[in-house]
Amino acid sequence: MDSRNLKYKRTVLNLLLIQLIQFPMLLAEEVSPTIPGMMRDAPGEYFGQIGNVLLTELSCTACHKSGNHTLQPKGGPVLTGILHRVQPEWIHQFLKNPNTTKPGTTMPDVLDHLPAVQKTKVINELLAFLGSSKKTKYAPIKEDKNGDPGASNAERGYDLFHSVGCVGCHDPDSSEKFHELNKEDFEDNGVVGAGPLLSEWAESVPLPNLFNKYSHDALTKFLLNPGHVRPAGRMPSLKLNVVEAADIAHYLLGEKTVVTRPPTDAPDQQLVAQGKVHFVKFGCIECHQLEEDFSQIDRPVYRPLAAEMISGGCLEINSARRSIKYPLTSQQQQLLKSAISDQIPETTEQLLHRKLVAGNCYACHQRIWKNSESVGGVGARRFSLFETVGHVDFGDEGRIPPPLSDVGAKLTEAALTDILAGKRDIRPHMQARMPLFTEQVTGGLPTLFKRVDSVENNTTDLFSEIDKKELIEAGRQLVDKGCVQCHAINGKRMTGVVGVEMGQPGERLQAGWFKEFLLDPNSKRPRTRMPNFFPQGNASVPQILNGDIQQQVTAIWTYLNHSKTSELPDKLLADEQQNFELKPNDSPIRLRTFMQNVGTRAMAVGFPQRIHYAYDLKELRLALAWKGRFLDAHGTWFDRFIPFAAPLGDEQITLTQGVALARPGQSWPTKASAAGIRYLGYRLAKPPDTVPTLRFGNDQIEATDTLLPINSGLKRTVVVKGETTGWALLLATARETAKLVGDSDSVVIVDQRLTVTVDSGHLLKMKDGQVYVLLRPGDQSVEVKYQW
Amino acid sequence: MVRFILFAFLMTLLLQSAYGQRRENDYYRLETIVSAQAKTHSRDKRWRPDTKEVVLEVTGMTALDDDRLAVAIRKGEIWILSNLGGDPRNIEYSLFADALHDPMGLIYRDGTFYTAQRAELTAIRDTDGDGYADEYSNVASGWGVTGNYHEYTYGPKLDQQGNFWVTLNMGMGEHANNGDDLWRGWGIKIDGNGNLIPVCSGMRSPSGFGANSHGDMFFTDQQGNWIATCSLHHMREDSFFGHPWGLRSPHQAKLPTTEEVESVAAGVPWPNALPKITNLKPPAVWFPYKKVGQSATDVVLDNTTGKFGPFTGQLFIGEFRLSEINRVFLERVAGEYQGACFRFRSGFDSAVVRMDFNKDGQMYVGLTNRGWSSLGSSSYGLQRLVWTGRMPFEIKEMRAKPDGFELEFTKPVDQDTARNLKSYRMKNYTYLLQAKYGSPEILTEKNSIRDIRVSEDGLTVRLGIDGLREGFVHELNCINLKSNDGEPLLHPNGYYTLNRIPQVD
Repeated sequence: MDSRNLKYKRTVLNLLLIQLIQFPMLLAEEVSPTIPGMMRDAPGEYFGQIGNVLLTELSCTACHKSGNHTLQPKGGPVLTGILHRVQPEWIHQFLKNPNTTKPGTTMPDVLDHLPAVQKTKVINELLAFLGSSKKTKYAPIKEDKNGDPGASNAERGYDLFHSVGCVGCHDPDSSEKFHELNKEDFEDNGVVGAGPLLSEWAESVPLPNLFNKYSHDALTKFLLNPGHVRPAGRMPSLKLNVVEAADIAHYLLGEKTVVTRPPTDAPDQQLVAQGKVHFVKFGCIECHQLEEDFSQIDRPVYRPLAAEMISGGCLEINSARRSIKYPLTSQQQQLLKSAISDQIPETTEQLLHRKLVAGNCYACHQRIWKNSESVGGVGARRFSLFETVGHVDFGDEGRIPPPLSDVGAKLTEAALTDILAGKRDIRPHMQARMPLFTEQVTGGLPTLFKRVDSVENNTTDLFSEIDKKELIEAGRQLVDKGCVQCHAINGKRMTGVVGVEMGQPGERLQAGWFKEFLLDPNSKRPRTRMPNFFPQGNASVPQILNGDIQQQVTAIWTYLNHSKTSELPDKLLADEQQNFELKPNDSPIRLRTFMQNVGTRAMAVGFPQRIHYAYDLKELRLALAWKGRFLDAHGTWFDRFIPFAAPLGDEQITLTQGVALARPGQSWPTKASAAGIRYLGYRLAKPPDTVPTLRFGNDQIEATDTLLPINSGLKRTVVVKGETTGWALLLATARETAKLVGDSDSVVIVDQRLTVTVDSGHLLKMKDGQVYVLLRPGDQSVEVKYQW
Repeated sequence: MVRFILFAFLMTLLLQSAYGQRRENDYYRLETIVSAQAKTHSRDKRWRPDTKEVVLEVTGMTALDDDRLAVAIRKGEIWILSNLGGDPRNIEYSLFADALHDPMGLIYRDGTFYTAQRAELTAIRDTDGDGYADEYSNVASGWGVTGNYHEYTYGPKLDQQGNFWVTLNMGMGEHANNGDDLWRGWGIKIDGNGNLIPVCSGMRSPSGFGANSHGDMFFTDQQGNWIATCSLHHMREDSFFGHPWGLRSPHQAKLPTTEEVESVAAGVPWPNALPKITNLKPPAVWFPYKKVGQSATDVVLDNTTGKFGPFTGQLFIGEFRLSEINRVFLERVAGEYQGACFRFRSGFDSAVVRMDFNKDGQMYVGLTNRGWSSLGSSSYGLQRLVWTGRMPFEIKEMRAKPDGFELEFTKPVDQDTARNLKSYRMKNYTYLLQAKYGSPEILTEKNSIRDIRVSEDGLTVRLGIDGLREGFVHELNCINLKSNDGEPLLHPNGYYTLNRIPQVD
């Protein structure tokens, strides 16, 4: 928690520094347009003309139309109401220097050829025009059932940013692990790009200076539904709720800023009219939607995409003919030129690959293609940021988004469509979320996957001659033997199990893939944690269906597809009926466990009299007492993830906050090591009593501590031997009050609830809420009654 | 017709593999004592002489001299089982101790049981002789326990000097680990006064360990983050095994810094990582993933002087997910242990977690798979592995030589197949040291067999091999080799972790 807090503070500091340095001086260097997926490209003819990605991602085809309908330009954000969302100063800077203001932007500098003074004038006119467009009313984000976005928290935002998937594309915080390493560091160690199973380097999509661009409210709104204003959808929705979006916005901005409203005074109509003309003449209209009537203004005519365009024009940085500026890398120029000059028709594979590059699906997903080439996957630096919920050990497949290899043969087209539409999340154990992209990114993907990956004889169902009822029962038994140990069926799962849902697989998986996967999991997912239940082609349960592995797989498939209407596997049934409540009916019950408010080395003791206590054996503290029901041992005995136990009964009371035996000093020690004593063990009275007597002490002093139930409470007997001078015994700790009863020095009422009575041979002392007795010299016994 | 041929082919394959399983049983017979799904479970009242239900999820086990067997189970109890020799229905169960917090081992010495609970090493005695323990003593404690489920404490076992050892599992999830995780990822020696002596670090999930015939301690680790594949390591001072989280503990040993290790987090081939990281020690044996297990557990020395067959002095390694036992041969080269692993026996009813030999040289095998999963039809149980007296044809030892390997077999080889170059195939590969989960086999190369010398008695074969590489696992396949009585090898593969090529023969 502390280190995270520190990280967060550092981030805020960094952001402030960046703002001080960057704005408004804008000294940053130009960064070529960033198309992150292209950096994950695989070379070779198989993947075709990757320059085509540039044609769409740089929106070349917005102006220079192409007959190839797959070359739809990406286009820019919707500009209707832009001044409600984005600070006008930022837009001004952006139009002046697109690439330094938003590093890596795919928007060209369309005003580059203008002299500085004129450029400023045009920008002001464009801004006036954009400001005059008020078709959408701006409604601030409101509180909903998830909470109040106004109460956002940057630390939570930090955690979300680094867990739900943002870092699949964007840089993690510089304090995060491995982040300081650069590509060369990785290459020095000989790993990057070394093969299909190794880490790949992955560049980040740079974030602009968001603090100057967005208000907290506007950024929250954007994060909730990026596709609303960016139909290109390269930035997806991460299925955030209002509070999550507000938290991330808070983290990204460093502090919450107020909404800046566009100027309310009537705009200068002349400026507006000029701006509107610029909007058309400079080509803004080709990429950006804006709800205005432009019919009165003549639109420039651009050359259609053709081979002869490769010299001059936008592609030449130093060309005099250039009217707009793209700071392309020489490689980008080269790729574009060859894409334009040889318009070779693409194969289905190439088209699919290009779509995955454009959508940057490769940022998270690896895909091994039929030519054995591997592309994509979570980048080397980001790997450690992908985690399971609750840090459950599932291997990498539990925390890293699944590979897309063979996905068209694995999933049904309907399931693929659903997943891309944001449905069917079957990995609740994974912190990263499958984002929701716009149609522009996902359209056609299911069909393409299917066409590229389809295999012969891939059946939609598995059939058997065996009677269906018999088959289902055999499947139920087989599922019980193995699958239920790791997987859920229709939401029912064994305690602690968090694996992928298995119910109704036919709605999701293709039967042929399922069969091959079951018969040899490694063949589909190298090094998967899933064991092979048919080792060397043998049934591991030979007594079912005569050990016929084909029939067994069919039975499993059939049962799972009928699992909603069939009986649960036995283990799940038993698990549902398990009862682990400990009931000390005849004799006391001890339980060593992790326990809330007691610690990781707790011993709870329950008595048939329905009065119980718990001792912290680590710090030797008599911690809790309660009445009624004792404990549920489910967490301790059965649940793999051992949640801390809590008393089941009521009238719970905290007895002491400190080490039982200590030398009282400035303050009462809370650590056994500080008190100089250690836990020695315990002895047990003969059955059926089995009452434990705890032992603790050191070389000079040793104490035993025994608690027994009495009417409405507990009686505690502590026997101390050895060098007792100067030592004291802690009896109770008051949170608020500790009051002696009458003139006695032997009865005290703690917090108006607990009566503590000590034997007549000892006097109660009190200091800072600690109620204790000083020990006399020599061996002695102290008797204490607790009643509440 | 084509269909028929295909069917016949499949049937042959099926029969062959069924035959493979039966063959293991011909030499090492598997007997079920208790199985969660055994028929006796529900039908025979004698299965549970007590009214209490004994769910025999074995996490600790020690055979007592008087033919009884003490078993620690996950519920936190120790049971003593007697009458084990005959019909499993006649076994008597007696509860000896309870209220233990995840006991993960069990030994018996001088009238006292010792088990490691999560937070302490505990001595347990029955002082009044009624068969139910009445004294639980804290022998040692002080390591960190944050409450993360994965922080198991394994042991104890004894070394040659009579010290107790425990190994401390890492918590799961790095961020979950920021609490009191002192000595997590360490192997700890405990002296007679209960002092902790942290010996070596870099462990992830050291769920099994034990001494070899020289009293040197070895532990198995399991594939996971930083651990390329399951492995067997020699626990000794100033040794670091690859997982960096334990380095946070305030140790005095000569170990790398966390930063030193994390600089290779993105992955470096193990042979290249060794000179980069202070006292990084390669495992004595890698267990190639799924070829020889995928989740190694207990380490047990064959000290049966031949009662358990020909492998006296070797180590047996439990395997969780695949419900198997594997076998390890070790030798010292340039002062350090290295050696080979072989598959040994498959087909247990559930995950193999603990093993121990009784005085007749039979191996008790304790099983439990709850929370994870494994092959086999049960979720827990107790089985016994007995050598039938028939000699299996196995590669008994695989010894590194300056120019290749020397194989010693359990019985004479057939001279013709043994002299045939085509009887042997070898390749070698290594792994990445990386923060990621596991590692693929990398930098694989084939080795060519140059020459073969077969001893006169047919028990040893010396292979001259080209392309040996230090730091690489050399995977040998002798698929076509036959014994002189015509048997194929029961397990034709050996996997030798060649950390060093010996300089002298």
